[in-house]
Amino acid sequence: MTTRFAVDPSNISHERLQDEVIIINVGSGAYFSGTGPTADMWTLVSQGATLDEAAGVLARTYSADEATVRQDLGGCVEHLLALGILSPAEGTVQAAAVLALPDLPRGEWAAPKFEEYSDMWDLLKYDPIHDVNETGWPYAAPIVRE
Amino acid sequence: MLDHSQLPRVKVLAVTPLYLPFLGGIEVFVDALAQKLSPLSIDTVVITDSGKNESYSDVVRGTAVHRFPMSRAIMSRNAKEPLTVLQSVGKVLADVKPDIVHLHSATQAGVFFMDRLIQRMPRRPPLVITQHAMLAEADELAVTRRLLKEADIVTGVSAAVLDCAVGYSGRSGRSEMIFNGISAPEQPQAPRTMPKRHNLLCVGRMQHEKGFDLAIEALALVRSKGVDADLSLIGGGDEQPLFDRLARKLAISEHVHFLGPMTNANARKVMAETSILLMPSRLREGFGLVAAEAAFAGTPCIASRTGGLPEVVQEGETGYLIEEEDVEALADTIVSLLGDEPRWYRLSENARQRAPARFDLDRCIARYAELYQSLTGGSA
Repeated sequence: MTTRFAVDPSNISHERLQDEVIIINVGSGAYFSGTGPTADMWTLVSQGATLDEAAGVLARTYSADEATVRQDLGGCVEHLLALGILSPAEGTVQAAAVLALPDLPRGEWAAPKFEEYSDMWDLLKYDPIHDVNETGWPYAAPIVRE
Repeated sequence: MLDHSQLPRVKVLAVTPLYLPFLGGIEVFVDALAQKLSPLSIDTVVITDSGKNESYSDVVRGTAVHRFPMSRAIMSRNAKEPLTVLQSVGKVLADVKPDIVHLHSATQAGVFFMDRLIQRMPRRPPLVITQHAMLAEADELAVTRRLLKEADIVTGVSAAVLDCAVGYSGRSGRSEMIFNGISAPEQPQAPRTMPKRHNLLCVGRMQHEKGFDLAIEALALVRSKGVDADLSLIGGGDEQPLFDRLARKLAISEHVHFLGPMTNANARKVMAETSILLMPSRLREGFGLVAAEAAFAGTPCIASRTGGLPEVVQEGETGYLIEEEDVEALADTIVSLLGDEPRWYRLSENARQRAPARFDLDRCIARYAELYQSLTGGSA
């Protein structure tokens, strides 16, 4: 499988910090978050790895069966393609020269799966914090920070 | 008699939308919980939104408070920002090692961060959620539904809120209704007489959802029926100019007084000199803190029949309920009550005498102490 994948920077914001990756669909307000194998899979695929290349790296990293890893990756990537988080790369996209993963302690391999927070804007709609200031609502604040 | 000083101290991590010096119902309530639980060997650490772009920690009335720009990080649409906040909140969680996590509302930005973090913990501490607001079935809010379903205990500040949370999440676990406790006024309220000058009052944020425009329209109707009454409004907010314009349009601006934001103590003094508190809310109010405070002051309340308000305002006993948006019913009820002093006195006395038992802060705190105790095997 030689397909590489692209992330549209105008619609998708993604970042990894240590073991956690967060992906935001800026248009819809959907958040996706994952750790461990999920974060590693994202790191590789977003570096331009094909599924076969990513499976090879992950199988070595997790001492797991490559065919199993390859199958697990396929399911997750298919889901991300359906959500528009990834798209098949057009033209000649090169993978990073070295497909690198951060040096972190790792557990056992598990099929990658993002936790989906599909309605963050709705969540914030309930949160009063964006319409208050330090004069409070409705009362003025009598307490000075100690 | 249990000597709490001999018990191992229990740490509760309280997650709130905001915290003092920001003032709102949740903030005041969590502060009261923290103060009253400390002598019972229960320590509260607060994680909350900073309301700014920065993170900082402080101590408020003896309670450690860690503030993060959670809401802004989510709204930034830049994945780096929530990740940075997540890491910072995670450090606090690792340092505190809470025995219990208590989310004060399952609909706040902090829910996302706490959900991410507690899922990663090898052993999640017991989770308590106190729901303060009604939820709309149309909203997906998958994380809210899941947390409400999985929490060890869910409490609601009114039966309406609790029923809504249980129905919304489909949970079958332990769920309890605990009215918000309210501190009694500094001076116990003496029996009232109806103020000689009819003065009506609204308290809250100046926003459309609170229905203060309906109160202004009702005042115009009340005055058109020959009843000389004024309306005062306590609170701040962006929509005050709209309300001001409405009062001028109805030619009653000299009878509508915008008092601005006030301390809680001062607002409660004003309530104690008021004829009737009006809460013509369009919001599905979870509880109706202001109505409960008015009851302590012996002030009858006329409120919308929505959310938890019908539980706080006892129809025909401590006030009256009207349908949402029904300005004529609001005006008629005001005129009727102002014209019947014996009835006003009965409602005032009912409210004043029942409030300490119905909204007793100590009893509310004791309920939460019991909940915590049940989750920590008795060490709380």
